[in-house]
Amino acid sequence: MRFREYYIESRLHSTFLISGKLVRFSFFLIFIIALLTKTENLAGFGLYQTILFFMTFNLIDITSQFLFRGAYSIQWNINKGQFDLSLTQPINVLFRMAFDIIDLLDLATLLPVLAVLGFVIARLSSQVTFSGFLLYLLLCLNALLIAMAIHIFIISFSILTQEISSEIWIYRDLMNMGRFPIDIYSKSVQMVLTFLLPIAVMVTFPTKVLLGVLSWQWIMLSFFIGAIFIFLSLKFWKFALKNYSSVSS
Amino acid sequence: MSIIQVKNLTKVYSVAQKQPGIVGTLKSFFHRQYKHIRAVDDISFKINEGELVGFIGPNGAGKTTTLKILSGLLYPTSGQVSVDTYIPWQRKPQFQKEIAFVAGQKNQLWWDLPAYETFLLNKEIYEVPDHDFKERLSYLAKMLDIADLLNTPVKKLSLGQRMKAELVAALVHEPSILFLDEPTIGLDIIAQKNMHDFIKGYNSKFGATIMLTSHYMGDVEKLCDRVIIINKGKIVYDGKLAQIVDRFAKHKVISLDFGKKIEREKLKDYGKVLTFDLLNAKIEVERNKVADITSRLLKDLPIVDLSIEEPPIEEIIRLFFTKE
Amino acid sequence: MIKYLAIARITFANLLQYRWDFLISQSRIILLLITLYFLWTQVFKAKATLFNFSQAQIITYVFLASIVRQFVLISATDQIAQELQSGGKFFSYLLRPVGYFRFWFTVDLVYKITSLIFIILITSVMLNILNITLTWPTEVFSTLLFLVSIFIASLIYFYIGILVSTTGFWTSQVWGLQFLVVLILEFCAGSYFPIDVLPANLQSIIKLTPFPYLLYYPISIFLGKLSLVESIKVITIAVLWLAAIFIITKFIWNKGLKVYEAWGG
Repeated sequence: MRFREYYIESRLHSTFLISGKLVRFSFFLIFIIALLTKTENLAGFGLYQTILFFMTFNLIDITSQFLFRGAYSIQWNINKGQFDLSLTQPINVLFRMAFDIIDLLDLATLLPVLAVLGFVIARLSSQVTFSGFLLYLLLCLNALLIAMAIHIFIISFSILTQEISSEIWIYRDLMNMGRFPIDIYSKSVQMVLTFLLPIAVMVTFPTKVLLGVLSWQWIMLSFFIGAIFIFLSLKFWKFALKNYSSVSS
Repeated sequence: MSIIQVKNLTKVYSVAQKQPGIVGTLKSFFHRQYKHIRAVDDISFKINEGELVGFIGPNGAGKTTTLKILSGLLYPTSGQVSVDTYIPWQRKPQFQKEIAFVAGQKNQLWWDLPAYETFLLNKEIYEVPDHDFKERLSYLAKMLDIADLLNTPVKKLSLGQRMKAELVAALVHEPSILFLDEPTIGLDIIAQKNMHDFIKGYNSKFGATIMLTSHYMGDVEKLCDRVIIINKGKIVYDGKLAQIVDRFAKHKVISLDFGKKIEREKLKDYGKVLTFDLLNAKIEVERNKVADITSRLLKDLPIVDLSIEEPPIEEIIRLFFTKE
Repeated sequence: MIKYLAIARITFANLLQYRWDFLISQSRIILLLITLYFLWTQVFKAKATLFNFSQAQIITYVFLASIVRQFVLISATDQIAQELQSGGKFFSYLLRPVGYFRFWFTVDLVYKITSLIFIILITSVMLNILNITLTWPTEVFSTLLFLVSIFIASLIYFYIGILVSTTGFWTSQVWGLQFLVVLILEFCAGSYFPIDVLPANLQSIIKLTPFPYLLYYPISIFLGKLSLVESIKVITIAVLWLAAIFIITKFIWNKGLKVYEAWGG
């Protein structure tokens, strides 16, 4: 694995990037606190609960970015022939493409998230059970699997079209809709965000499990959706690869 | 009347010295050490209207720096420069309309659009009348043989085609002074020849003054009567190309094809044997004895073909620099 | 004049080459708009007014902020940094009789107008689907001063964009700084939420920067939250900010150009 060289190359540059991410994080946190202090209630959730949603969103978002950043440079890799090279090497291409670039910066932004998360969970400890916490962790893992599946879809799509991919940005923007509990959206939007583009399964459901307000049917469904996404993405990946090889030869 | 006048021109680059590591970076932040490089060192020359001058020398000799100063891209450290009565680095619009600076790796073409779009843009930027624009464009496109490529996006052109399109874009305003930095770099032999023909043609048709740099002697040999040779920022020669050849090439090479095998020993009387493989040979002969030796060779040996060659100009320049 | 029309023409032709990418990047704002719309609708279920905003006002704010930012905060000036680094293209401007800032302002205008038209189309569709009517100003002066303030805001953002890109004279790694500045600027300009939402002390700090003059104040004028006198005062301060930023940008730009001319890229 190689580190993103140009990040480390200039410390000033990295500082700017970390600061940018922290600024965004802080502003949203302040916004949520200011809002909830006034209204005391957002779609049935209180201040600390709403913060918990926001923190879980950050946890999943940053971790998946950290793990799958390779997807952002897939276009570059194809253009530079790096992709062809990895096809010839005895290592799983998918694994390489996804985990290729480890972005240490994302770790730096993860620390404050974990700190606030711990603080909020401690504040809500009366609502949190051990089994709830365990399920929370499992659903977070499930979320990372779905994130991986989505990234595999995006990579495969880039390979098929050989075009500059904007899909990744659409995904990022969709993900951002999970900053707040999906209960704020209308029913139809909630449906889309649960079954079609399972942002809710990724970020809202784990929080709800922790708060003990998610039924076991939804929990089962979440893991089921995760499995389906992984299965379909791998199918699509194989299809894309077959197609690519026949094009390039 | 000299259209370009350069007097005691000097350009010194200050390079900040960086030490490795964080401590070094901090140190150099507070107390920066500079290294001074004299890229151009007190040079003077004049170029007359309509001249085609080659500006040659090894890499880092100061060729490109000089051209950049002449076209107004760089400030000199000291010295006077006047190009068509203007001071280049003031970048007056009237001056900019008189000159063009074309460099191999510099591109003003819009990558995703057909080259024609950039030509149109430049037409308006340089305020070229419609009629002149059409006339020039058809002339340039014909001379450079790119008429059918005008509507192809630039990114789909080959390197040679792109160079030609760059040239057209730079000449839409019909500059009277051209600075060409390595105009044939990366081009194949045919494209090089086309470029030579074009430059020569542009020079004679419009009476344009052209200064070109090249590290490739072929360019200079084909195009320029006068050369300025620069080395380590100083002008080491300024004059006719033919004169350096006379001065430094004391020898010519006679190339021989024989009808039947001969022995190597037999050739030694005529000159230094450069190559020999039974049926042909090359021998080096002193310039003033060429005629004499040629007639002797023809008389004595079973020769079917004979030619006299100048030594390659690269060789002469190399000799020149080793003499310095 | 014809010069700049030609620049606008080629910019638009270039934009068309990337129409899909452009449209997608422009559409990204929609998901944020949907989020904010539902968030505020949810919040106002319990209260009639919040932070001195009625529900109708805040929904208007959210939509207007999306529209205005697609004009004011859209710029091509971030490309200047790349151009400075790649050298060749930047040289070609110095060689040609064309003003560099004027060139980029023309390019900017094309970007701004194109994305404004696009966002107006999209938001009209959304307003229809969600069945929302925006609150329009009751006073004529609000509309007029709103337009004036947006024009000034665009110029402020144009020079901020150049100022950030100017660092490209010294370093190749500009986009980290661009990322940071854009993020701070977006929040402080009020493009996510009106800054009235923030704690009072943070508000007063933000109001000391030029950023609220980009979106927050123009929209406040539109919503009739500022009286005629207050509006004129705000616009006057915006003009002063514009002058200050212009002078700073010009100064740093000239410094950078000196370095560039001393070095040749």
